[in-house]
Amino acid sequence: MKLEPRKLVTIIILDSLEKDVIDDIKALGVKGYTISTAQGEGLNHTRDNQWEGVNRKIETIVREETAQKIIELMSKKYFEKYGAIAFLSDVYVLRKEKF
Amino acid sequence: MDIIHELTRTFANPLVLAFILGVFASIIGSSLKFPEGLYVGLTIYLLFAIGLKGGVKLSNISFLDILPSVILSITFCVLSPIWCYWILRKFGKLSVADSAAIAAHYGCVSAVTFSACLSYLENRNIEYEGYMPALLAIMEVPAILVALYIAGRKNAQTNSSMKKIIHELLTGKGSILLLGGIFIGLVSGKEGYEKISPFFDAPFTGVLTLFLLDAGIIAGKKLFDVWKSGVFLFSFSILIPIFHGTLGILSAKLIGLSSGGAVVFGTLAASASYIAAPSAVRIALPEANPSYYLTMALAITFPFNVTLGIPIYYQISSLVYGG
Repeated sequence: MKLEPRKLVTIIILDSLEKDVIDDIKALGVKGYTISTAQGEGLNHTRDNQWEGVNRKIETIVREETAQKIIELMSKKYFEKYGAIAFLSDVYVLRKEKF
Repeated sequence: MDIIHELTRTFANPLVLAFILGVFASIIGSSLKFPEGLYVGLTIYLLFAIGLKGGVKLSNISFLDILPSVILSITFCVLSPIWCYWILRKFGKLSVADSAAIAAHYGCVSAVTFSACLSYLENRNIEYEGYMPALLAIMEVPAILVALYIAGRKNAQTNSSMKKIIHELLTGKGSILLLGGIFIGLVSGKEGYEKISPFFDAPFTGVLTLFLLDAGIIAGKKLFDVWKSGVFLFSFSILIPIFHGTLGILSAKLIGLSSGGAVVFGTLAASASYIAAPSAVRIALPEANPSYYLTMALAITFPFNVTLGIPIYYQISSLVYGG
């Protein structure tokens, strides 16, 4: 069985921006993603309760070109104004047509 | 009026004590924390129950009877963010975004402060107009729009289009549950409501108590921020509610509300939002500093209103109504 390389994009952002980010990455051709609730502390703010809002971690596995586009979009639209981070990592998948 | 007796009565109340317990737990570094789902569950229950009960009471009132209150509520919510913004800019020397963000919170209302006020009045067997939850729902939206409009005009970087923000506010959890609850209560009336009332009536104050415990935990965590907020913002968070409360009570008398209704309206006017406004402001005014607006609304104004504010508004109303 041959494993194919892909990029895992991880985005961590305010829960209130979850919908915006999902719409944006779908427009870039993302077919699937996983969302989980995340909490933590960063330069911006501690985000660990519902009152102040928590974070969402959005993960999606894509081709390298798409991954680049997502990072560019995040940098242009979200990084400056909101507490947000995004990063890439290498992963290997079966069934490459899914990603 | 025996002030000490009145104060004991205020503080010997499970709602207030639960809040204080939360603050205490937070200060001593307790691991007590509400899971996310519980917080969401409690807010859904509270907002829906407030809406339902309001709707049932609304079912035997004609629209013309509530029209003056509706107009008063909207007028208040349109004007109050304007003077709040002006005060914050002129005397507080805050940035456009911060001033607008805080103005949005103080023109908007808090459903939990509202519920605490109703339970205060019910404890004392004081009557008030049943349609107050409808006013609560109406007062959720206008101030946020006005404040964001001011910020937009002053060239603060607002991020979303007005259309998107209005959509966000009207489709948000608060609006759907409150307005939906009012609608269901209105259509099903007293008879229909009786079937579900055991679930929404008896446990209500208990659920509110749990919610206040959680509010206390968060407020306790923000105590340090309160210290850092400075004299101006601290005074603003206490004096503006008293000013808004008094104004609310006077104008309520003017349009002929009962004295109990005036306390409720005064409390609505005095309260600051910490559910609807922060989530709108976080998106629309990202450059505004949350440690100002959240600390003020949640850690200063909210506890003030629940402990001292409501009894003060009650006293003011008694004075105004000569009772």
